[in-house]
Amino acid sequence: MRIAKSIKVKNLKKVFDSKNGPFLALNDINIEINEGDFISIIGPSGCGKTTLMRCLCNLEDITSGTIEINGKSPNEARTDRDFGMVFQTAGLLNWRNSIENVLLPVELSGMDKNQFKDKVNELLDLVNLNGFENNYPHELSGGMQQRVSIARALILEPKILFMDEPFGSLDHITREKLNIELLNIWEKTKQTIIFITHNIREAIFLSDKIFVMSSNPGEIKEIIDLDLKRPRDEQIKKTNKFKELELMGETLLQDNINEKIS
Amino acid sequence: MKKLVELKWFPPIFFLIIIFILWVGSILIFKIPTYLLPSPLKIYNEIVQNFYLFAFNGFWTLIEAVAGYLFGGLFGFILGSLLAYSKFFEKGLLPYVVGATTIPIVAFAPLVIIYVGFGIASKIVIAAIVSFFPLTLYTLKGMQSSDLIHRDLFYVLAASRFKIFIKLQFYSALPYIFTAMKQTSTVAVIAAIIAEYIQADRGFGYLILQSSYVMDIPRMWSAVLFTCLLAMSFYGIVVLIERKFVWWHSSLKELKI
Repeated sequence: MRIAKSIKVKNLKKVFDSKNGPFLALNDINIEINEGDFISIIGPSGCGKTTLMRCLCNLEDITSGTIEINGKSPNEARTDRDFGMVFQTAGLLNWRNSIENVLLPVELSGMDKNQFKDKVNELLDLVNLNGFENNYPHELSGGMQQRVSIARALILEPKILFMDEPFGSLDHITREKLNIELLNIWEKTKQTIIFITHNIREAIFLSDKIFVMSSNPGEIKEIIDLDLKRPRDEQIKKTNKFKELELMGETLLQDNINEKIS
Repeated sequence: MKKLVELKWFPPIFFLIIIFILWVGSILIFKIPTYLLPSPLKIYNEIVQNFYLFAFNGFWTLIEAVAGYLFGGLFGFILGSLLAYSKFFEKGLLPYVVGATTIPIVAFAPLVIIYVGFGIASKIVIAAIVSFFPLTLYTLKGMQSSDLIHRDLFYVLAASRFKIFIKLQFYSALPYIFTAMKQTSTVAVIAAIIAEYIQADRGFGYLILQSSYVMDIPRMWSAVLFTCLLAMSFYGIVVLIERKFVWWHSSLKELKI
């Protein structure tokens, strides 16, 4: 059986017009992502990984090349609500409690939110927020807020989930905990997830495939296929294979930085 | 002593007592005559003896100020929303709105009285004019000040223009709207009194002007204090409403240092 492609990117180029002249942010990006894959994009800060994601989810126009999301243009995919998005910061609406924040996509889609009552509770359960359904964002910790935003991204059951360094601002322990939660969610929903991070351990732990980017201009430098068994748990981080991959990833990122310096 | 300082009511009461001491003290020490500065006791007597007079005139000033405040504020909010909703309206009308705010109300008020008439309506219109422009500008500014991440979120979620407006821009504008409403609450009272100076047969402006003709200083001072009280209570009520509606905004949290 031919595996369906979730995302196809061909010869993508993105140029920003800045005050100091045009800036080539992304150069000749070619990506194919299978349906149901967990993909990480990793690279040093400023390499264009966020720009790439913003192009994929239609927040930026592209300069040249093509992007297909579920066989449609990013704009069509967006208006068809094919994908959900988790941002670097939770971006909750301060005047809404957890339930109301999770229901936002439902309200914006024009569907009846009463039909999603069970679904909301189910999702808040899934992200371990029982007992915080009626709390407002300022009453929640950073990690909890990010969990609400993950539930919000999942409420309409999008086929694709974009996550832009969602755990970047969290402490190490919370991050590892949320990584496991995210894998549990993904095992259940089997969405295509595109996950941006600059943490190689996180990327290896979560993904089927890692795209390593280099900067100036932003390019895909290497694609690492991970054949680590699933489902995964903390134990996997102690295996030799994991450590080898970690070393390999770090070397790749290191080379990247060294090239830039020399 | 330390506990007293931490009490909520203590600091304002403390300074009120200081002001009274300075007031009464300077009258006693410098032998200031009543026709220049009356003592608090004289003002108190004036208010008690003529309470009906102050209540009657205060009532009309309050009606004018509140009615003007609400009408002006409502129309200001509507115009501000319209400017925020449509670039065409913003580009076409904003320069005139900004221009109109530079017209001093004292210069314009006599015209309003000629156009609208000698009754209470002209005072309401004058109070409405001063409430209108701040609400317009702050509503527009507030609606344009929604967080970038929220705008991205609403875009990714394919929200319609109208839903962005009512579910994001309106809430983002609320703190700004209340800033304007706090400002105009006191300004509306001032505008009503200015209008009464120009022409009126009732209200604090009328009372102050009439008393000044006969040099009734205690009565003038009483009216001034009443006016302050009126404007402050009005302001206080708006603050209470603000706390009810925009408790989620950071401006209501205490600054930590």
